[in-house]
Amino acid sequence: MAGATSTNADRASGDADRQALVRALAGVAEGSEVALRDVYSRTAAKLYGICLRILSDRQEAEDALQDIFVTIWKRAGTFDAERASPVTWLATIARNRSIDRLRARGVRPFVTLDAAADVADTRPDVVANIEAAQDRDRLMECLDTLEARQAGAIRAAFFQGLTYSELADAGAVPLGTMKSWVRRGLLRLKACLGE
Amino acid sequence: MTDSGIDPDDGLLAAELVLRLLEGDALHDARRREVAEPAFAAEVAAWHERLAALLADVAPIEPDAAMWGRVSAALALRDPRNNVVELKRKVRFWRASAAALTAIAASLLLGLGLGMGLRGTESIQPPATTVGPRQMLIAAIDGEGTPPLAVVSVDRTDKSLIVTPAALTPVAGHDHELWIVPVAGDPRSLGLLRPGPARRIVLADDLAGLLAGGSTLAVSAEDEGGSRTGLPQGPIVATGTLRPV
Repeated sequence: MAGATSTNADRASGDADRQALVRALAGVAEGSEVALRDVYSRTAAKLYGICLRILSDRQEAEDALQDIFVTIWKRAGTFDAERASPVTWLATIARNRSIDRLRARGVRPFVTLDAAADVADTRPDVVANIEAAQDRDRLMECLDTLEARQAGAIRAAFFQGLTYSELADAGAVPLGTMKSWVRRGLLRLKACLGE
Repeated sequence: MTDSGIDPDDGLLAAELVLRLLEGDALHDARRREVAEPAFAAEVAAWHERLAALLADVAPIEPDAAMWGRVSAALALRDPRNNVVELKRKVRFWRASAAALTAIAASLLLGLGLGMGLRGTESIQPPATTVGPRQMLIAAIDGEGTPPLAVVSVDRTDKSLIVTPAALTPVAGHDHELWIVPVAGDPRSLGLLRPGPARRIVLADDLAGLLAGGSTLAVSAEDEGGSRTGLPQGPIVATGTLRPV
């Protein structure tokens, strides 16, 4: 596993990637096409992967990706490297834009609250550096400590953009019950990550 | 951890906002607090970081080689001199939001017709008439995935600006401040943004010169009374790009 074999060289390389991405975003904020191209070449595959994961449709994912880079172009000035990691910032835009599309589509072809259905594809990549891989391992460990229905609901919200009421419908439980599952899961998750 | 004694319920609300579990009033309230309360905004950011680790597992997939061309064309980066073409392409690209913007733009244009005689910062009366062709630009100023906090229209003919507050809720002890963000140089304040009717502001020449198609506007969350330094001190909570109508 990447986490177990991380070296100083890996970490330095991850930091360099992150710094390069921060600089590129600063360039985009100043209106540089070259900088946007740089951000694109560093992150498009990762962001497209996120779009495909959420939308499960190539055409929709391509439209979302275009939308995402327009958003990056428009909002790079609001990225603050002191407050957020560039990869998280970009991935959050990708997830939000993809979920916007999913919701606009209206129909959810396949909704599941089964925690096992969303299991990892396991290929950490260039963008997801060693640090991210460690964060990932830790989050997975913590999710594993939750009840299956709690983890399943959290994953469904994250990847399928389901609201509380949609989760309650999908799980055929009262809204209050679903809220209570998710909140207990989130509290436990935070406590586990904080340890 | 960033857990500086934040109320556990607030921590949960931040996580619910990040996961997009909330709807209706609860969603609006959470977004308002994200804008107004730095401690809550920090908790939102912390949950973004925590949960983003779920995305570390998503396998990267190379998009089609033509994809960059689509992105570039959408922004018309290749021909920045040709503003008309650029903006037409942008408008085409943003067609998803065009209907909403057009409706807002139409009401603002109507409002402008009656507001033409006003000077300084005054309330705009309800629309009653139409106007002829003018050099109008409009921007919806929204945060990441939020409804617009305000819609700003610029009349380049007479160097005026109309600010229409939208999903903006007052918060004791805080103010929103509107900024123009030049391509080069520091942001310049366009004044405070408070809930209420649309307001018209006549701009000084140097500020008016900064407002063009493609210009970025931003809203920051500041302490009451706005930034004391002339530059945004609080977080930028929403941005928008001026486009011709």
